[in-house]
Amino acid sequence: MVSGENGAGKTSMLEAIAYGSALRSFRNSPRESLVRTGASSATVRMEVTDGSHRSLVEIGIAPPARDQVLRNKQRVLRAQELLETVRTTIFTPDDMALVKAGPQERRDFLDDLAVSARPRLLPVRQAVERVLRQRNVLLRQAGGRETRDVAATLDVWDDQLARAGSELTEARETLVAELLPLASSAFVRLTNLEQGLGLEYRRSYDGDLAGALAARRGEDLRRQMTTAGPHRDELLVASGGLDARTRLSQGRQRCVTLALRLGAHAVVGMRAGVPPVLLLDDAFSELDDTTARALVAELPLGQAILTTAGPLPPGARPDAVVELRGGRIVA
Amino acid sequence: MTKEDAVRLARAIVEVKERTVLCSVCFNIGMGERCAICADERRDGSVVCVVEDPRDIVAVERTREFRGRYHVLGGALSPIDGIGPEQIRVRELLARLEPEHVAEVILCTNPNLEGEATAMYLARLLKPLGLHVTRIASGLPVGGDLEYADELTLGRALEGRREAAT
Ligand SMILES: [Zn+2]
Repeated sequence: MVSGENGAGKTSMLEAIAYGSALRSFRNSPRESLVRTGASSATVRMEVTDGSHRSLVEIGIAPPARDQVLRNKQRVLRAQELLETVRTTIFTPDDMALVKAGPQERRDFLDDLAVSARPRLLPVRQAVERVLRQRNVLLRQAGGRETRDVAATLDVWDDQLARAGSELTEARETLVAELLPLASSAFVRLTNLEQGLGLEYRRSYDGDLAGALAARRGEDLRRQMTTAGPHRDELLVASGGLDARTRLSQGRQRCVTLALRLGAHAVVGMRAGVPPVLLLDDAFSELDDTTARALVAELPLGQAILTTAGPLPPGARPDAVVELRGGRIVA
Repeated sequence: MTKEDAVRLARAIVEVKERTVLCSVCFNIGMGERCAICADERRDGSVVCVVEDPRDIVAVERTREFRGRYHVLGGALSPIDGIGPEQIRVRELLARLEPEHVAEVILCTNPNLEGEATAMYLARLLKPLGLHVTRIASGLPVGGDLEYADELTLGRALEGRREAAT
């Protein structure tokens, strides 16, 4: 357990651990903002023990240069190798966005889960994001006119998008199927309801993506955006036939969020063979006593690091307590 | 270093800079109208290796696996950077094919998204002209890499080149 007042650096500590597992901030902070004002670089260093296997992970962050990643003093050439070294699951009070915000939050959740469960999907996810940016800029540059150059270059971006996009979509669908029973049963235990969760992945197109991109080219050129693809798909979440985003109470929505996180944690643990490190950033502050107790009881085996500015959550018995003040460990 | 040495060094740098020009055939960096590779009669003119940057030529040359000639595009397709087919030397490449009796084009653009898109664009343009178009075998997945291929992987990639996808 990590305690300390607000601004003591608790979240930054968790952010560093999470960055060391995904090379991405769970707060979606740009890399520049991970470096302290006035400093030119930041370093994350952590010792990871997995059974009898130990590794030292060191990451040098100095934007705009690429991150320098070392494992046991050896340069890591592919980011996905780092993802295979340490995995994390994060709970934060802002997590409600997962249920309440627009579909992008739920797509990001699925993609984080996909990459964590299968690190080789990292380049696929990055390719989808990058090719979409390229394609959309090209559509704007075209200004609605399909010249020969525009057609020929759109063809190649479409091809790249169709390949990476289909792979990502299929991975998301597989994971939703794996996630459903785990998240649903966690939801039942958290709420004491009989109704579990319903999850439905809805594609933004019929048939295959290559065909959809070709069929919608005219529309895409006119609207100057890509209208079909994984970036327009939706993950619908419901309980008892009610849409979680619009029809459930705040308290239920919170349980949906927790159930999705717990389910994802279990999926990654099964895929990887070891449970990820659980990071709970002030995750209990918004929970009522019953839900907090239920969550503590639900917390799976494995390592959990939790931060709090107040008292311990009910029923929690930490192995170690660390106190932070002004960004330093003082006790 | 004395002051005279410093002045001499500065002059030498200026001189190299002034004499360095782009080769009029392949757009490699050279000291004259044609670069050393284009001027070398022993090189096989029927095989052209297409690269993004003159530095890629240095990398391919170091592998000692390639005896043909080069064509430097000066970039890769990337709308974000305002680079379309007009901005890379595609027309110049097409103009070389007949006079130089080119039979094979090896697409050696970078193994990232933009490099792959450029390779595919060129393959679709060149194959209908009856050329043998190959792509270096990339041992690395597209994107997500922290570093690019070293010489050894590049050498293997050249050797293992295969029919380019279109
Ligand atoms: Zn030349």
